[in-house]
Amino acid sequence: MTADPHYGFVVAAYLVALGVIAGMIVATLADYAALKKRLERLAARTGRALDAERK
Amino acid sequence: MPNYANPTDFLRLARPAVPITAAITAVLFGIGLYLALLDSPPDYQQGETVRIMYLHVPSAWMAMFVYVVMSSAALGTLVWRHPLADAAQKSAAPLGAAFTFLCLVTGSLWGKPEWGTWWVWDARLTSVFVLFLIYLGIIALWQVIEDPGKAARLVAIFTLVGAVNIPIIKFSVDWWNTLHQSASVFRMGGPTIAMSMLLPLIFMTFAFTFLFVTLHMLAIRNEILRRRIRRLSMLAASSGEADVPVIFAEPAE
Repeated sequence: MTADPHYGFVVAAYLVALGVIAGMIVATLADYAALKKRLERLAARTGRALDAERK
Repeated sequence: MPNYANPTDFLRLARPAVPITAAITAVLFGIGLYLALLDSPPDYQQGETVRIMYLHVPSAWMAMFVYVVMSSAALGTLVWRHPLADAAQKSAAPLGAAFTFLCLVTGSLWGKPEWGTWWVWDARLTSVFVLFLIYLGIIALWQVIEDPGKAARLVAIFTLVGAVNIPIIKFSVDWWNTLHQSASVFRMGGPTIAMSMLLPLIFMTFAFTFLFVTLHMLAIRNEILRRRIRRLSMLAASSGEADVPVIFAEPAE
């Protein structure tokens, strides 16, 4: 495969895909972590139970 | 029986479902990438660049599929007033934009060696680019309209108007003369693609689909949490709690 003159285009496409997919996953998980932290802080301050994410 | 329109019931469903769909996604990607990169043969004309197809075609399908999901959610918002419909719509938009971006970039990387150009303003490429702009417009609308209910209705209308672009994308290669090839998988008379290439394409498409399902469930969960934060913040503000600016950081929920 590496002998192909357009090998670089294939590698670039898969690297971009890896970056986009990893970006989607990381962004979603980071958003969740930040929201959960905010919700816990807010719930502790207001004294209200977290009915959404009760463990 | 659980009511999945109820956010708490949805979260109860999503908690065990996400690890299962994530595991299926990983397995499908494992098999799909093995078939795409190691098992499938190079094309007799394109050589190794045909392997870009295993990313480009699934991401193109997902770009349109996510928009169809969003259009269904928009109907849910406008017609049935489903409580989770706008959350599903809002959380799908960035994922759809990412798949469309991937489709455009991989298409460009495939086009340069095969067509001799990174980009042409032909019907298929232009209509997919318009889809990308529509996704960005939807994301922007959610951000700029402060009232969540108003934002949901306006975005739903915008989404349904934009849905006219989906059949244009699909049939652009039949309606106009384009540089882009015509349909070779979903067509009357069956696929024209060899089974050794069709199989990795199918696995990669299912992998992308399960990736979306997994991330969409997680993103809807995030959206539900965002709403709870907003509600708690408003309650705190109305009861005279100090330090409540957090609600105003997320205007359109």
